This record gives sequence, C-alpha cells and structure tokens, in this order.
Amino acid sequence: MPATLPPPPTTSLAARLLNVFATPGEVFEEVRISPVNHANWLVPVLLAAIVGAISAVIIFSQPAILQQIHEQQAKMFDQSVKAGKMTQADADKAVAMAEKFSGPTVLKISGSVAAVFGSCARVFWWALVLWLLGLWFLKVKFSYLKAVEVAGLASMITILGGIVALLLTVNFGKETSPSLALAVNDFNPKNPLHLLFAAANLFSFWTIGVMSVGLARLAGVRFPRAMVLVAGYWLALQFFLISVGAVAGNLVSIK
Amino acid sequence: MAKNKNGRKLVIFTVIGVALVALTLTAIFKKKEVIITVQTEKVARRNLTELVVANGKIQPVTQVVISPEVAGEITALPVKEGDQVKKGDLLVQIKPDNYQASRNSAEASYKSAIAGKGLAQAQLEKAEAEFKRNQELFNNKLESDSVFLEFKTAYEVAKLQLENSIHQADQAKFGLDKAADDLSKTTILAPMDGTVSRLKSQLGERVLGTSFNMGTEIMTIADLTEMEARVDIGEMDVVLMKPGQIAHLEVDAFKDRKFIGTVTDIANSAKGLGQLSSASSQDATKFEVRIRIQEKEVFRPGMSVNAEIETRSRTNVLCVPIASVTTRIPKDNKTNSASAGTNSLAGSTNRSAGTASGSKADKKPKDVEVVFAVEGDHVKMVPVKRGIGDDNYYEVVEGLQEGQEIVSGNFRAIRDLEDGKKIVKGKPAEDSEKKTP
Repeated sequence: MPATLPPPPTTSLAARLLNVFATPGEVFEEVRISPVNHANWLVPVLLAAIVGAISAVIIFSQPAILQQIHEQQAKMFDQSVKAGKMTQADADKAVAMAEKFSGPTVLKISGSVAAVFGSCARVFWWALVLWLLGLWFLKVKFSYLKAVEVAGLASMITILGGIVALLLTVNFGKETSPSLALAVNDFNPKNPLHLLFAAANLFSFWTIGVMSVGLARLAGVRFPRAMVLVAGYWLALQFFLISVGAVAGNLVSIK
Repeated sequence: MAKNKNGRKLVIFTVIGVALVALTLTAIFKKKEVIITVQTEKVARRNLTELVVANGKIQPVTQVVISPEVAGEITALPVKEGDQVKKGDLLVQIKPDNYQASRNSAEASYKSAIAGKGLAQAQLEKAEAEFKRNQELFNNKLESDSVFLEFKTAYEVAKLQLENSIHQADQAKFGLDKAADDLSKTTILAPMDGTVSRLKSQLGERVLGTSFNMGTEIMTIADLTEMEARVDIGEMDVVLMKPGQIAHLEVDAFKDRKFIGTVTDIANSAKGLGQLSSASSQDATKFEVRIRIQEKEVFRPGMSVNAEIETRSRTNVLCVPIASVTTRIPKDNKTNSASAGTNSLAGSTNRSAGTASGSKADKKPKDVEVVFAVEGDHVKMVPVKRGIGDDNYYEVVEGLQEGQEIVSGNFRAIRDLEDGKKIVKGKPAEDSEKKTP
C-alpha cells in the first residue's frame, strides 16, 4: 500500500500577511502548493485602499500641503503668463478657480477614490507582469491567479511604504517618500534626475525583491534569475515614465 | 533553522515597529506650521522720481477760428487746408452786393441829412433877421405885441429845427459808418501768420455771421511752430502739478523718439463742469494740463500723446518694492472685530462683522500700511510710513532701516502673510525689473 503524503502545513492569513515581510520564500512556497485562496490578494487590496484613503484624508488636511499645492498651481499659471499664453488677469482668475475646485474636500475625495482604484489595479498589473515574465522569459506557465496571490501578498510591503510616506509627509510638512528625494532640497518634478531620486524608494526595492522571490517560487527558478527579470522590468518602466515626463515637459515649454 | 527564522522575524518586526512608533510620535507632537515661499529684498537707498502718467492730444499753442461777422455767400476762398498764410492775406470773400447797396443808401441818407441841415440853417438866418427887424419896431412901439410874438416864435422854431437837422445828419453819418463797416467785413484777412489747419466751408456756401449767433466756423488758422500737449489729469494727481515741471512725452506717430515738455498751464476747473448732461456726473473728474513741447517736429493737431510728468523727486532715500507694501488691521483693533488683511494694490478689503459693543462698534478699524521684515525663518509685521513712489519703489519715511531684509514677493504670498508666520526664501522672479539707484 503506497504511503499517503501528509497535507502541507498551512499558516493563517494574518501570519502570511506578516511573514511576507520577514520570510517571503516560505509564504510563497505555501501559496504555490496550496489551492487558490482569494483572501491572499483581496485582504491586501482592501488594506491598501483603506490606508490610501486615510493617507489622502490626513495629507490633504495639512495646511502646509495645501499651501504647497496652491503655490505650485500659481507658479504654473505664472509661467504661462511669462510665456505669453495668458494675461495676468486670466491667471488670477484661474488661480482662484483652482483654489476653489482643489479645496481640501475635493482633494480628499479624489485622493481616496484614486487610492481605492489604484490599489486594485496595481495588484492585477503586477500579477500580469509576473505571469508574462514567467511565460516569455522563463518559459514557464503558471496560473495567473497564483501570480495575483503573490502580487497581493507582496503589496503588503507597499502598504507599509505608504504608511511610512504618510508619516514622513506629516513630519516634514511636504510630500515626501522614503527615497533619495529626501536629500533634494528643492524638488522639481520636471527634473529627470529628481524623478530618478524619487523612484529610488526603499520600499520599491523591497517590493521588487519580494516579487522576485514570488516569481522564483512560482516558476521554480533560482532567485537571482527572477530578480534580474523583475528589476529589469522596473528599471525599464521608470526610465520610460521619466523620459515621457521630460519630453512632455519640454513640449509644454516649447508651446 | 527555525530559530534563525524566528530571530530574523523578530529583528525585522522590531525595526519596523520602532520606526513606525517613532515617526508617529514625531508626527503627533511636532509643531506644524504653514511655510510660505517668498522672495526677499534688502531695503536700500535710491533716487526716486514720482511720475504722473496721462494721455491727451497735441494742439497748437495759438490757433484762431475764423468766423464771419456778416452773413452771405462765399464768393472767394483762395486758401485750402494745409496752406501757409501771412498776416493780412485774403482768406474769404463774402458777396458784398447787399452791403454795398446798404452803404450807398446810407450815404444818400447822409447827404440828404446834410442838405436838410443847410436848409434849416438858412431858415434860421431868415427867421433871425425878421425877428431883429420886428424887435426894433416893437421897441419903437410901431408894432403890436401879437405880431412881435409871432416873429419871435418863428425864430425859436427855426433854431430848434436846425438842432434837429444836425442830429439827423449825425444819425445818418453813423448809419453810413455802419454800412461801410459791414461792407468791409465781407473781406476776411488772416489775423496772424500760420497754417490753415482746418477748412470747414466751401466756395459758394452761405455762412452766418456772429452778430446775433455763434456764426459759421469757416476755417482755423494755427501756428504749428509752437505745439503743446493737452493732457487730462485726475483730481487725485492734479494737486501735485505745478508750472515748470518737466514731462516726458511719447507721441504715437513718433514711437522711436521721446520728447521733453514743460508744464505751462493747469486748469482751475474740471472738464465738463457746468454741463447739464447726466453722463458727465458719472465720468471721472479730469483737469486739463498743458505741456509746452520743447522740440520742433512735424506735429499735427490732434495727434495722440502720452505724458509722464515728474511731480516730485527724492534723492538717496530708503526704498522698498511696491509689492512689499500691503495693508493690515493693527492687532489691537483685531480684538474688537474679526477681520482679514488685504493687499493694498488689490484695493478691496474683506471684513467680517464685528462683535464689539458700545461706541467702539461704530468705529471701523483702519488699515495700516505694513511691510513684512524677515527675522530668521519668520516674518515680523512692521508698520511703515510711506512717501512718494515711482513705477517700482516706494519711499519709506518711517519704520525700516537700511539693509533690513523684507519680503518683496510674490503678491499672493504677501496676501497670506501674518505676523510671525514661517517663510522659506524662493527663487526671485526672472523677469523682475529693478531700477538702478
């Protein structure tokens, strides 16, 4: 009579959500051998949405943040006046309208809505990336839903990063993230170098590492190989976004 | 192996927990201040010249409107618009026929009056001779009283008739003179050297004289060698005007040149004063100021001109940028009424209803002109007393010292500033123009 294999040990959802910070390999191994469990991605998405909404409410309650937003808007209109695209009177009217329609309540609502949709979209997007990387580069086909579970659990890192960014923003009185941008005094969103510094976020790197572990476990490959693929995708995406931003900024300046 | 993993978990969670707690405590207990980005400038000494800017038209200093004194048809008009004329040149000839006939008639009446005077003189002589002859007879009692009285009365009548004829002759003389004068007025000569700057009538046109009404304006003669700018000055600025002040003039037709002028005349009364039109009461009150242009140029009457008149100047005085001066309600008045500050250049004030009672409720808190001085990374509101100003700077008479750093922009930041607020210095405006002292 053949011996029956003992059922694989399972941890609780809370344990998985917490262990992904310290021992992601074990968590994803368990995910790989277990049946599909939608809680693995649904709960992190809900947590991300809640944290994002609370962050939007808190950040847009800070007078300093609102002041900076209005200053940025006024600066943008002033540049248009200097470029001759509008008169000073039109710019003043536009600033008044912007202050009226970008008041704290509007910003909080729009920020919260964006956080809810963004958290959902991010998980499914990363799952698609992992699945395609496995299929195209590693020549391994695994279930898309497993990739969603991995992406969902890895997004716990992003949630922690969001909480840290919120606390840093409240502390410094300006929108801040745990990245190299902390070293920049006068952050200019049009400066590609400043954008690169902002992209060099501690929690982004951590998330890439955890995603790589998840891809390695799902595809059955070694971690370094998976890391190269995931990090390569992330770098390419950042360069694309920064380049597009720089070109768009130059086009606006030329016009 | 399990021990290692547990140890690693403990370390990671401890680090995360400590970091979150530290950041949270810092966020809760740290004082949050709104930081406003501003531009700053130092109070410096400059030379200031206050300018009053006004628009107007160029007109000749001397110009005469030619209107006929007598009515009639124009039979000769030897000049056209733009012609140069000398004093005494023929300008207009009005048909003299009626006036010639009137003169002739007056002359005949005069001659008739002279003849009548002669007749009265002869009759007086005859009456005098008969009176003297009859007086001798009456004295010798050779004639009755009644007969003597008749001759005496005839003599008196003859004397009065002579007097009457003399007056009639005078009257006829005056009539002749007037007719001759009217005849002479049918020929209009140039009263001065100049240019025909406007010609309104044409040959053959019937014109009215100025005897009983306005008269037809036939043409205008102007001396175009002396031109002046007539500009309209508002009532707030006219009190600063004095004859002799220098003005810089820009004429639209000569954009690449600036002209110099001198104020010569300042109107005592506002333009349109005394007119009954309802619209004039709503128009801004303007006073005409005349500026003699020193340079000679081919100006034409009616050309548009923009004048900058130097009214007052100060040398080496403390100055601040215009944008740095704003208005606020003093702090002690704020305890009586809740109010918000205003930007003086914007002009309007926002105040909410006051809560004070008694007589203080009737007193509206008065705005005070202030400047925000930089003290470290905060600002201090400093009341100032302002003197004159030009396009970019105000003179500061009281309140600031040379070298003191003050907030100079932008105007939105200054609008939001209050005493003690935290600031950060931003980049200066790229296109700011600063006049050198």
